Amino acid sequence: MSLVINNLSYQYPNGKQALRGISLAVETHETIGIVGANGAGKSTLLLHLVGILLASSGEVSINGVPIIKKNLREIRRQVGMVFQNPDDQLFMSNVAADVAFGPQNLGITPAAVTEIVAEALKEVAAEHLAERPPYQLSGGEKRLVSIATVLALKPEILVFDEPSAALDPLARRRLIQLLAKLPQTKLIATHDLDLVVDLCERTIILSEGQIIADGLTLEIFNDPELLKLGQLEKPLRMQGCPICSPKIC
Amino acid sequence: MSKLIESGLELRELERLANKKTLIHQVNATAKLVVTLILIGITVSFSKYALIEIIPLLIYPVIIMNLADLSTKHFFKKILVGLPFVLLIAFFNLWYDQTAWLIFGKVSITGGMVSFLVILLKFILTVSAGLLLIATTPLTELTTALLRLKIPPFLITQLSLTYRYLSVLLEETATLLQAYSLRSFKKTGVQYQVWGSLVGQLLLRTLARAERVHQAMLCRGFQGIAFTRNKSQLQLCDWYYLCAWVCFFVLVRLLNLPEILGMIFTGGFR
Amino acid sequence: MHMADALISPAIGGVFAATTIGLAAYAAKKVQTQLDEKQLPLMGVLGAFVFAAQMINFAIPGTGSSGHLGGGLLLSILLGPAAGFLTMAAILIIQAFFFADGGILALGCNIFNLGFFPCFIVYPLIFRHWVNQNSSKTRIFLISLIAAILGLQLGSLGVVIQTKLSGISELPVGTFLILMQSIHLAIGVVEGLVTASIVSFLWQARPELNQPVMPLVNLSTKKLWLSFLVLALLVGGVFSWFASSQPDGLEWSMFRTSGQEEFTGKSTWHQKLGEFQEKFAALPDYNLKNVQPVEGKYPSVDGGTSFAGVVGAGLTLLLAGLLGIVLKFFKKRTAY
Repeated sequence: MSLVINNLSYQYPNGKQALRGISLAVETHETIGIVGANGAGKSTLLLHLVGILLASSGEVSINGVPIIKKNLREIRRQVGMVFQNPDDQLFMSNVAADVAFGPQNLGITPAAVTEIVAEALKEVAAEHLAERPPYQLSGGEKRLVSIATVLALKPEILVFDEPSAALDPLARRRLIQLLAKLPQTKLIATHDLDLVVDLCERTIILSEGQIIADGLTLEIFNDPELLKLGQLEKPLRMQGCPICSPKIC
Repeated sequence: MSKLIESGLELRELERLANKKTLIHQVNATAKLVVTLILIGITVSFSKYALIEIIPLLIYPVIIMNLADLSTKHFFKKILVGLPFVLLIAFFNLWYDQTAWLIFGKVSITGGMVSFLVILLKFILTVSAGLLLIATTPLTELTTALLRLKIPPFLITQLSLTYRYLSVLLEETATLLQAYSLRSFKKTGVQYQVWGSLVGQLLLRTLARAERVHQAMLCRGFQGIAFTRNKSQLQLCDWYYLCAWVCFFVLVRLLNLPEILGMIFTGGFR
Repeated sequence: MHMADALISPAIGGVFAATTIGLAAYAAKKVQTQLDEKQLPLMGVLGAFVFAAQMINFAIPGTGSSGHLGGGLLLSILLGPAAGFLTMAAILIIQAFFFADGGILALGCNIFNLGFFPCFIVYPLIFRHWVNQNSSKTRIFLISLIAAILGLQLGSLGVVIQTKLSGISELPVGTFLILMQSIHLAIGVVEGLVTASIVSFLWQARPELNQPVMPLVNLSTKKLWLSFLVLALLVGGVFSWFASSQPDGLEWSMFRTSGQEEFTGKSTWHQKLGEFQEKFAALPDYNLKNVQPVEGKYPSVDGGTSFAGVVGAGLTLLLAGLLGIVLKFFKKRTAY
């Protein structure tokens, strides 16, 4: 088991109960889709996996190491998080400096850092962007580079928040191909259910801070009752032909 | 409200220029920074009537601008930004200092005219020195230069973060103002009833963004200690560059070069 | 008003640069010992925010004109004085280098005028002193207004003092003061109102922000006055040294003339100016520098030297221009 969540609950300081009794176990190399309506608790759940939020009750552990304050350094090495907005993640003045940020904080020697940076950029096929400032990148390029900044830490688990948001179709397809290639354990929170169909064998539906479904992706997406409960819709690909099937609205 | 968009474009233009690969661009950033600072110091140290003595310094922008392949027109436009305040102050010199400085037949040149011109010259020299540095040096190299000059890493990091989010915030603000102006039908700026909420909303979003940036930093092992990049060493040619300019500046400061030239030309030495 | 390098002397630039570096080192130490690593990204992003917000035009009701935000006061309200000061410094540095707004040597002066006064004087002594969690909206408006006006008055006073001490401007102190302080009174009112409306909005939307983000840096008033005194002595000392080592403007100017010409009213240029001056009543204390040079008091310089100087200056300019053309020519040659 690489990730175990046991009866996790979280309440925001303003009193909002965001997670209620979440339990989940994830095998190494598994890819899991986390879906649910806006405000269902997806992002809150992800923030617990990197220790930015700490459980109000219950516990989360990575490879047997509980996520508590004193383990955070270790945890953040093992879990890499790709944020929804690349502009939040790319805060340095150019791509290479940004990818180097993590390894530098680990105290790796400059020579080794340079090597790691080149490797990480190669992994996402973005070597040519190394010297560019972030605002000169397209949305798709920003996304790739964000992923490289995380890969540079050589994590075992990757956590994605809305990876396909605001990408054009081609960039989205490239992203999906890249994610399919990455060997790490992956958790992907998204509204892009077709991406889930492409990448994840297993899917979790969150609703009002609880897991209302946890199972094989295709089975879940073929259960209309469940989808309705989660305020979701069947992935476009699994809906009928646009000409012969009736319009929904 | 196009000022925002213009500023953003200007930043990008400077960045594009800074990433060119000319002779000047290849000089080490530390050398260029030091030359720039010394030039500014020397320029400013000339007395207020040193119109003639100061002129040779113009050779610096002429040479750099050409070797670095920069357009003069574009540069003069940029230099104009800070001009109004300087002009305002300088104009008063014309006014209050009317002692004759030089008399050509009937026309007398007053001290005010001279000091007015000196202020303008100093302005052009100092401002172009700064701009030429920025237009020939990428920010990442400049930050390593600052590091070498013993500026604390904390401050350098803070500076580069500010710079990084400048373009993001400029864009966000421009979008917000566009949305505002589409529904306000007024041209004179933001009405006072919405000052608080318009800028306040932007501020709230900015605070949320700072929070997320901080989270992203934490996720990659940030522990409140500012980070640094490895320094690049000054090569021999960087030292030559530095020494040559500094010698020139000192020479200009110590000797009245144009006067010497003029004496040779008019036979003043006889 | 951003000071330009062209208006200051190296001594003034140096003194204020040193002071500012000292203040920045002190502030950086303060911020870092708070051990709140959130501070760094917050400072960066808020600096960019203020930069962008400075470009928003705020319509001033009933006047048809508009003003904008300065930011020093707002930043210290949001970040505390030390971090606010550093953020303001970063903004001014970027403005100087990337937008040619304010000089590089003059950065010390500008950071002092626009950072030190609002963050270390006005914020702790006025704003924090009179406004707290339970202050009414009216009170916030009133105190913000006073704080912003005071901050800008101090700042523009700084500009006047720095310019005068540098000895480059001929503008009489009185006129200069009236001009600067009145302009900045107007700017201060806008700054105060904008800051107040942002702060009121923010504290209503996010009440938890209505407390110093960072406990007030424990600035003892004694320390403050002491550092003020040291600065005053420093500036005074440098100034008097400068004044004594260099003859004042008039003497310098006379040094250049041959010393025989009586200058007043002789040239037509001068007469016209004089007529124009009489019409120009806005500057009541206008005072023509009517000092008659006493024969022999000023060293008379050989007119030939000046002539050679002028010729040489022309030649140098020509040379510089030629140099540019030659360089351009060679660049084109090598490009093909």
